[in-house]
Amino acid sequence: MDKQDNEKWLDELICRTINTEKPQFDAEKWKQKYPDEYQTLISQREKTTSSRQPNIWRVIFGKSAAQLVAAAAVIILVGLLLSRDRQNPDGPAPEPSAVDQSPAKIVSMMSLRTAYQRGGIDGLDQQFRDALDVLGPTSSSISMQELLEGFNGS
Amino acid sequence: MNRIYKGLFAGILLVTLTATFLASPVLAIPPDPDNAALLYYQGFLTLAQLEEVAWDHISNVARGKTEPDDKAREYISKCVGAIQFAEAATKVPTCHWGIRYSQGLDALMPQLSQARRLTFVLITDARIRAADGDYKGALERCLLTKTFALHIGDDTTVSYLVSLAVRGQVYLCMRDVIGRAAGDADLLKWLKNELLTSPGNGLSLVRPLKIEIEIMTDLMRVENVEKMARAMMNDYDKKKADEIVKTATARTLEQAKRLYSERMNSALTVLSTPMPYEQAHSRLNQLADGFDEDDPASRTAGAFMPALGKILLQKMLVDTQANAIKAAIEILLDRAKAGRLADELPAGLPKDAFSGKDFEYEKTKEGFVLRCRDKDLGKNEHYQYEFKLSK
Repeated sequence: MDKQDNEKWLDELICRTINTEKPQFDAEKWKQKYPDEYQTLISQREKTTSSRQPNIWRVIFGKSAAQLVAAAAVIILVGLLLSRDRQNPDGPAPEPSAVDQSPAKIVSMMSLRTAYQRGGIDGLDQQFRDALDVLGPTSSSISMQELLEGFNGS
Repeated sequence: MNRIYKGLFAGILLVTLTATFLASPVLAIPPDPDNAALLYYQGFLTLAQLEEVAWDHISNVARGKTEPDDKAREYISKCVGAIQFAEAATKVPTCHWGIRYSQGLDALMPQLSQARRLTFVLITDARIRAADGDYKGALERCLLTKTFALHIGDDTTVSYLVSLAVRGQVYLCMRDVIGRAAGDADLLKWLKNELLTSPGNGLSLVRPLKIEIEIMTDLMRVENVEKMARAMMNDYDKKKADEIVKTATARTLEQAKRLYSERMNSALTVLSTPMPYEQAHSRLNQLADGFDEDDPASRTAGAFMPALGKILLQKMLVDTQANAIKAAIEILLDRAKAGRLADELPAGLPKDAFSGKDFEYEKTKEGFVLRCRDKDLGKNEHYQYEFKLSK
């Protein structure tokens, strides 16, 4: 049961209870009986209407288009805020890179790029050789059995 | 009552299915990795611990400077685990190395130096096979290494260059093996077909350059200026770095960013447009040059321009090597049919990528030579590919 049904049901209940007809509003009679009040009401309504500027978007496209534009504006604004956040110039400055102090910097994109810029493919090759010297060789091949033997102490 | 029975039946069915699923021995074993890089990383970990002198020896054998000997065989026998991982990896189509792009120029790429070693191991193994008369096995190793080169990929310009260098090693080895297997027409036909059907190069300099543009322009911001100053110098000099930081303002950085982006985008257009090597080389050099060292914005933009001419040369060189191999296979197939080497270069063969023309062909005492018609515009060299045929 919605609000309208509720009101209808209430009207009928009141009518049944107090045994009267449904109240009817007669506008013409009211205008004749209260001419001053009627004029006041008319003048107020005209004032309100003239004070409103017509919305060109609403006139042309209707209410739904205006809502759509508003939604798009919000989306664009959020998008701009997010992209600003990604490159926020007011954000905290990045901490000094740990890579700079580490021997691993020999294989950083910056070092490898510089090696190529300086010595071409041979320079890059030398950098890789140096990297293996600095960072050391990898672990040797070891089977699962050997690994477990090491743990078991056998 | 009927409802109770139905519920009971459904419950029993569910329990039975769950128990079957849990007890199934097949489903308990997870599949092998679907990312080739994970297998290569394991391969790198299983490369033998050898003395530097041993690695130098492997490298010399791989490059064809030394014939495979007992030492080389011994070293390679210790790297069988790594080779097996490489074999498994090249069968996996996808390869993601997991580069941390978020770190910008500080991103580490330790896999590339290991990739260099693995390449030498694979190519040395190919040369050992060839020395043992197993030419097909040797060529299979070469093709495997070619796939490895493809997997090294084009994530960054350095990765792209390493990939090119690995392909270069593959073609160098193939050239020697083809010469030895010159009389085996079936093998040559098989190789021709493999080169046609194996995954193409597929790598492009455009992708890494686009990534590089994003990394570099992100660096050209006031809050990154110290890092940027460090990246601008080949050899770190505090005094110079301080000067760069002092002269960098939001305005100069914005100008630098604009100039750098314009030049790099023009370079991308050159690289994406088919044009003769000479023209592309000249345009790329123009884009990489002409920066004013006294203007902070121009100096900054210039410092981040990659050596485009050099990279293009590297690519052309490898493309030419690939074409020389394909052309040589056709020449040898023609020889197999005719019973003798042709006096003139057969028509319709892959061309010298530098000039876009047919290779210059010359018969020699030992076989034949394919020569590039134009010099490269970097080292000013005339490249030639000699095919020594076994008697």
